[in-house]
Amino acid sequence: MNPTLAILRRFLRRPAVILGELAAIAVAGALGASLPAWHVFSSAGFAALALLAAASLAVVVGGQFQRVRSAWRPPPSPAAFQSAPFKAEFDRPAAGPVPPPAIWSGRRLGLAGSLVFHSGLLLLIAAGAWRALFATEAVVDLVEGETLAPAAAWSAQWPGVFAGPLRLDRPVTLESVSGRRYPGGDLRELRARLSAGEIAVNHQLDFGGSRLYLGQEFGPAALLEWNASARTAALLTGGGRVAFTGQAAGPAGLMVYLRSDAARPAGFEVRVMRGGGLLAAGPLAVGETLALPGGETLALRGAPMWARLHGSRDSALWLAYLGIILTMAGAAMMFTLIKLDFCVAVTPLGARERVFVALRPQRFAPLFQERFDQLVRDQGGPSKVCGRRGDEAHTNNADSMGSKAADDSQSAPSPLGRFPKPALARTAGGLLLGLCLAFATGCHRVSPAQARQLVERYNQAVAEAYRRGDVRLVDPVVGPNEGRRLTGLIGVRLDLGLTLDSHLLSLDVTGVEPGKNELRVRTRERWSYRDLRIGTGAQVGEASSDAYEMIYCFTNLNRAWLVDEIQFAAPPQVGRREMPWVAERPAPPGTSPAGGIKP
Amino acid sequence: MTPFAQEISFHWAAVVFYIGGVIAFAYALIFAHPKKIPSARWLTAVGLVPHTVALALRYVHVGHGPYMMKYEVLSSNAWIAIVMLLLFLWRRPDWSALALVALPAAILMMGFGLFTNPEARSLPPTLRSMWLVFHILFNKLAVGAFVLSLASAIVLLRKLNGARGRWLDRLPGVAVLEARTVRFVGFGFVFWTTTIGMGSIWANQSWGRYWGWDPIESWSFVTWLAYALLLHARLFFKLPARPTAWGVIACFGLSVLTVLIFPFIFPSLHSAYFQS
Repeated sequence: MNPTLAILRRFLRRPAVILGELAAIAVAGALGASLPAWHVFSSAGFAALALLAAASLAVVVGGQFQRVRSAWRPPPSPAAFQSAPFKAEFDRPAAGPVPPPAIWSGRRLGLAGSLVFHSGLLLLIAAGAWRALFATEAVVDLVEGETLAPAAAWSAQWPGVFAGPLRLDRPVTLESVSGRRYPGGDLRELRARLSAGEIAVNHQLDFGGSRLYLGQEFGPAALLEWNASARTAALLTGGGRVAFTGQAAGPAGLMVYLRSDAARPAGFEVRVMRGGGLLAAGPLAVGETLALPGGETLALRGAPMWARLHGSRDSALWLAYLGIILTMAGAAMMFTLIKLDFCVAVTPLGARERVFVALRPQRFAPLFQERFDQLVRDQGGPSKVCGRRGDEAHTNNADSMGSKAADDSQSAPSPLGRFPKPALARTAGGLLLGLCLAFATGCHRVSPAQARQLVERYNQAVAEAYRRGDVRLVDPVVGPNEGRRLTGLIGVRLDLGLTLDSHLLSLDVTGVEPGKNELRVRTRERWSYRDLRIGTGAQVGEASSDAYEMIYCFTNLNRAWLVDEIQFAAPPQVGRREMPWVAERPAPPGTSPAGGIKP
Repeated sequence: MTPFAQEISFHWAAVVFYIGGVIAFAYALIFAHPKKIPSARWLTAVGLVPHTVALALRYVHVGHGPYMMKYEVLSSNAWIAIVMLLLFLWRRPDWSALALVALPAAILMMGFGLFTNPEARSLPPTLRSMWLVFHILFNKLAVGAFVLSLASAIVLLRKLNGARGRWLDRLPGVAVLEARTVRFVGFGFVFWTTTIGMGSIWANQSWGRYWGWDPIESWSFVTWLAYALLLHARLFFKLPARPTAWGVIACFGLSVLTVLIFPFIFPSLHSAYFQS
């Protein structure tokens, strides 16, 4: 063999190198899982590490194959039993001709466990490398009746380094989509009929060399026509406990927001906006046309269902499956099948005979004392081989058998040193206590960053609800009290023919006060506001830039933090000359008596 | 009484029996009444009856196995751990001291589950797969084996530190304890490997890829690697008993973090199933 290769092989199978590879992959895995932005798993370093590990695995598998082949056939030599952990000699009455020495092995399959396991891992790495280089994944949203051509542009593709785009060998048409829901509204089953066959979540469709999968995303699609010329399809998502919602952009800055409570609607609730101003709102049935200010039109031409199809082409999938099966089988063989070598040799002694019995387990020797005792009994030896436990079992020999009944409780102190006895109890107790505390507190603790996210999420939803004149948008972020208040406030504006276009300019979280199922977040924020006329989007009155110090009172309802009340911590600083709306509200202890409400 | 109230009642009845089992084991082992050990085992086994009924009621109530909410997942994990413990003690009565660690750990797991959100969640279509059943089953078996390895490692450390006591003296020696600890780890490793393998097949069916470096997938892989590292270190360097025991405890801690803590920290495709 080439000396360089020999050196490389020796290096790759060195225990320290193998352990180093395992540790490095574990650290890389932890980093990649914790810091997705670092893209560890797609980095050259990780690829190099995987390559190194694969090379080590290949060398190890090669070596193990040689060892298994050489150890499989021949029975162990009698000399091998000199170092057996279990051996005993005893006399018994002679019974007929002396049998020849018997040496046999059991559970030999265990020898191949490590080989099978590591071969499986090697195949998995090979399959993964093939996937990264030559496989392709793609996704597309199809509307009922739409056909995906073989060379169609999928919505997105993720080809491997050397892979081409995913192409089907014939066109596929989405004929129908049907979903079943639980009484509570959660999705129970989703199926789609394609021209090539039926497909469902968890039931893929093999299609030439590719496979098609059905995602869980589906809903009604609104086929829209702007100004009798431009066509667009808006895909609505959601459903179940919440309505299906979607949006689509039109010409000249127009934007339409759609909602439907039904999976197969005859029409949608629409809101058409431009530049933050609400132009029109109301129901729009299939076949109807909505006239917009300025002479523009929006027509709804259809409301079919849509579904998301995933495509995949990976010709090494069988290799991955084979690798998975081998890895699982090999691991099971390693730990459930331990090869055992037995030896029974009889020497005649006149009317008696001397029996030599030995047992050599491949691994976990201390656990085979009982098996050895059984072997001795089977050969007519003493029914109780020894009274000791496993500590001494592996040093057992004929001379000491039965006489060295040392109990491990009398054994010498551990040479590894001592810790004070209570230290372990304290450590273990501390560990358990720490885990309990982590369990008990980890779920409900809210950091300032999370509090900021909660406030931002609330403000985003409320600003959009004011802008679109659609109070249902705040449902996911408010509790009953705040929901009622906002319904009133937004309703008043709609009655006045106004919407509010607001933008959060700055937000500082100044305090977080957690409580049992409650959370109070203090903020300092700046907003810009302007009222817009519904129908034209024209600004009404003066724009305003305001500054507030707020207290948001969140309630944990069904494991979601919802705003149930907001208060001013200090009188608001309003930019425009008009006074903001003020509600009579008792000031909470420790806050400013001013009880204003944000617009 | 509502089905949920019945479930809770049976769960708490089981907890009472298990606590009784721990007390009985402690009395039998610490105060040297070995003849009471079978009674302790029986008391614990009787606790499995209401526990099994509670899990069966849960199944009837939600219409699916214990896959979704921590309440049902932890309860079933504890059930598996206790069944594995009792099966082991049935074959190896001398190892009863393990119950003093494994049983409280299982009770803790169950108690924690009982204080989480018990809301019934419907099974989404992606979870309606036979592979999921195997994925979850082997995961629970792995948890059970790892709990036993943890108990064995703690007892091993006690022995190595020279702790004496009648209950400790009843246990086999350090070498056997260490071999058994590693064997438990080995079984857990087999089950964890199978969990990942079954999960990969299911992910391929459901998501179109067998591995996607999703954070929870990755942490599960890291846990698997940590156990592999421990087993290899012991094999290559004849790792002594004490570092082996500490390694087992550390790996168990990592597996707990992977299942119970990381899903709350890292956004993942799996989070919806863990965070409930």
